[in-house]
Formats: sequence, C-alpha cells, structure tokens
Amino acid sequence: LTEHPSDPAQEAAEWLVRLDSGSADPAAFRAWRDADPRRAVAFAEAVRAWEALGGRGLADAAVPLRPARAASRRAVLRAAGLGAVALAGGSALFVADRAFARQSAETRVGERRRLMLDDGSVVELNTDSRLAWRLGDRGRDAWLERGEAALEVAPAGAPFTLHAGSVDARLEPGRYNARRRGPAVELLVFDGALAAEAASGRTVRAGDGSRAVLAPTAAAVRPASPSEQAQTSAWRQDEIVFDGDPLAAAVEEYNRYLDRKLVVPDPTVARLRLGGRFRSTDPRGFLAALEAAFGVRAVERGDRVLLVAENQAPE
Amino acid sequence: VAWLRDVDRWFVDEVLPSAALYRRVAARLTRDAGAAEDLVQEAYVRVIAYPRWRELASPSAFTLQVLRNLARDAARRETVVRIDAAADLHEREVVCEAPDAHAVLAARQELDRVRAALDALPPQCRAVVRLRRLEGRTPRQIAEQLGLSVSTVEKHLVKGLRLVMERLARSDATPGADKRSLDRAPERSRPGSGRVAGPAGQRLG
Repeated sequence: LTEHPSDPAQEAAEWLVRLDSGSADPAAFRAWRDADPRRAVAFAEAVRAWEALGGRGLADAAVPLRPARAASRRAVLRAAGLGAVALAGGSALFVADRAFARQSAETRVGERRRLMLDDGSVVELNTDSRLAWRLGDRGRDAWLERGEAALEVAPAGAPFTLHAGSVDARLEPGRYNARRRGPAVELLVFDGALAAEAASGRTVRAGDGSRAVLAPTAAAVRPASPSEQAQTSAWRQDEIVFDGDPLAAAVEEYNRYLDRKLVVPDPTVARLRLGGRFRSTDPRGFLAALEAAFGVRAVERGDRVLLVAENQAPE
Repeated sequence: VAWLRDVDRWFVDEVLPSAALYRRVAARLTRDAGAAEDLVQEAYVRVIAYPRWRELASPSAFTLQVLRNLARDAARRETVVRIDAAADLHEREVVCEAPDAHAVLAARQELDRVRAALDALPPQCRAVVRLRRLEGRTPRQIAEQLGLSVSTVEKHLVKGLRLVMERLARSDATPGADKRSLDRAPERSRPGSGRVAGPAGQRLG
C-alpha cells in the first residue's frame, strides 16, 4: 500500500486520500487505525492538514476571527524582562588607588563589584568573594582569598601572579576567570596564557580557551568549549546557567548568591537533572521553573527554604 | 465524515489547534528537536486514547498537563530537562478577556503557510489539489478533466497533503515564533474551569 510502510504520517495521508475518493475499504482502514494509537494521531494530523487545505481563506480572503483569551506570552515576557532589569542593579566601577600598598576588596553574598586597578587591569568580584593585590615594579601579585573573580590583566607592567591558597599561577596579559574550590583554584583562560608550577616541579601551562584546575598536589588542563566559557562568565550578567547539572549541584551553585539557603532533603529529588538560564539575583524564576517542570515546591522553614516534591510536603 | 470517530473529530478540533503551544513547551522541556517531537507525539497518543475525553473542560490544558507529566517522568529517569522557561506554563494560563491581535495574526499566518505549501507544489500536483479541495471536484472528475488515471490523482493528493502536514509541523516547532503560531483563541469558555483556560484555538475551514 505505501512507499514508506513504517511512517504513520505517510500511511495516514494515503488512507485519507483513498477514503475521500472512495477507493479504500473502510473496514481495512479501521483495522489499520485501531491497531495503534499512533496511527489514529497521524490520521488526525492528516485531517487537520486536509481541512486547512480546504479552508475558506484559501478560496477567498476571509480570515475567521475570534477574540483571544489567553494573555500573550510576549506581554508576559516583556513584564518579566522589566522586572529583571530592575533587580539587576548593576555594578559600580570603583577605582583603587595607592599603588605599591597591599589593597583589597570584597563582596557580600549576592553582591557583584567591578574595580579598576592602577595598572589598568580590571577585576570583577562575584558574590561572597575577596581579592587582595599589590602592584610593584618587579611584580604584580593578586590573592584570591575566597570566591570568584574575573581578571583582565593589563599588558603594561611587571609579571602578574595570582595566588590562591598555596597555588601560584603566572598570568600573561589577557582575560581569565578564577574560582576558589577549597584548597584548589579553577582558572579559565578566555585569552592569554598561564603557567603554574605543580608539586612535581613540572610546569603546567594553559592557553586560550582552556580550563586549568590547580590544587596544591595536582593540576589538570583541558579545553573549554565556547558554551562552557559562556557558562563560566554568565555571572557577570547576573545570570546562572545549568547544563545537565543534578539539582543538588544547581542548588549549591545558587546558594552562593542567597542569604537564605535552599536545601534539598530528599536524595531522589536532589538527583533530578536540569538545564536552563536564571537570574542569580533573584531565585523566584528558578523556584517557579522547578515547580512547573518537576512539581518541586519551595517551603520556607526558618532561615532556610526546603525544596520538596509536591506529594510529600512536610507540615 | 463517516471515517472519523467522535474522538478523532474532537482531537482535530480541540487538541491539535494548540500544536504550536505544545511544541514550544516540549522544546523547553527537552534537549533537542527530535526529543521534543517525540514528547508531543507521546502526549497525543495518551490523549487520543484517554477514555474519558468527553469530560475534559479544557482539552489543550489537559494535553499540556500530560506533556508535563511525561517530561517529569523522563526527568526522573535522569534525562536532562530544560526548565528555565517552564514557568511560562503558568504564565501562559493567565487569562485575559481583551481581544488579542496575536490571534488575528496567527490565523493569517497559518493561512499563509498553507498557501505557501500549495505554491511550492509542482504545477500538476497543485492543480489537482486545488480542484479537489477548493473547487470540490471529485477525483474521478479531476481524472477526466486532466486526462489522468484516478490513482495518479490520488498520488498527487497524497503528495500535496504530506507537504502541508510537514509545513504545519515545522512551523509549529519554530521557537519563539509567536506570530506564526497556531495557538489562538479558545473555542469557548466554561464556567468553573478556573485558571486553566488554556488556549484551544480554532481550525480553518
């Protein structure tokens, strides 16, 4: 009967045309359709197209009009966008002076700060972070004491060294993202080059578009895809991006920005995997999405917010 | 038409007109276009086989709920689910009484797509489809008028129908294509259906 016997859409189109012209056996058609609901769906889709083809509007210009009741999604998005702008706040540019002295800057939870150093280097601090620096004639040093910082190392000046715990990395002029992870530091090189001495005495190097994880006793370098790079720097737009992360990891990430921490008591809920882009400054969109997609509700408990499956909300 | 069961007629009139909405939601809940289409098809299968379909106040809202449940089940099996715009599901259900210019536009756009599909057909195929669907000639009359066999007329009709089916499905899947979407005004409002008065849409013709 068919050219593509495995394709219900093709079969459905053939049945419909043959039924319409009277050349098909209705009993055979019913047997075909009733054997698999997929076929009934495909046949309904064929009927929809068939009827659209016979539409009044194709013969004359009349378009049937009826008033809509659902709010336009665009209007909703527009409203959401305005809200996001109002919440974002933006970051002021602080100019740090007094060269040669050791300086420092820090951010509180949920804060983001951008600074320009005397040598023209630009530093941006993410939430709950602290960076100290000293700009000398023979060397420029910066200490990432906690949190995360984006660094734009200016070309003019002495060699630049980033210290994190007991790890030291020499950074060539360029753009980097540095994040403390316990005793280790994770460095993404957008452009530039870094060199660090590993415990073995071997020198670890990383160039454009790579990610280096430097720990006191180990070091690893691997390439970072463009999407991974975008994900790493999303915080600079007050965004937070997940890509297949388990809910437990996503919540841990979100909690960096929140005074009132999210908690996932149920391990099966914690294992849900998710992707998406959210405002780091406001968890409401994230919480609404969790509820819509997974039926996970946020329940306030003192200074914490519990994320629980809808059917097992604690009372 | 005799070969349509009540449930098929209902499915065509009440469920399929919001196809664009289902596909948009599915696209957000899955990682790629193939998975999104599978999700929509799976939801359709559940809905068309749902024995109590006559009791549904809002078939499109029900279909969306089935879709979300299927996506949630898939997520429990450790698949990655995009959730950032899933909150849209709620926002989308906000009902407002004002006539919406989008609905007018959407009806025009569907018409344009069907017309474009028709224009893309080879000349003889297009002529056959026009004669059957717009001028109401029978396949036998068309065969005689154009000097073709009835089975050739049928082949042209199948080809034309397939192209329109594909065009409709493809445009449905275009992300963010609100202007071209098929979801339009609900056919009717029912008291007591609450805030889940999902867009049901209407059919051309």
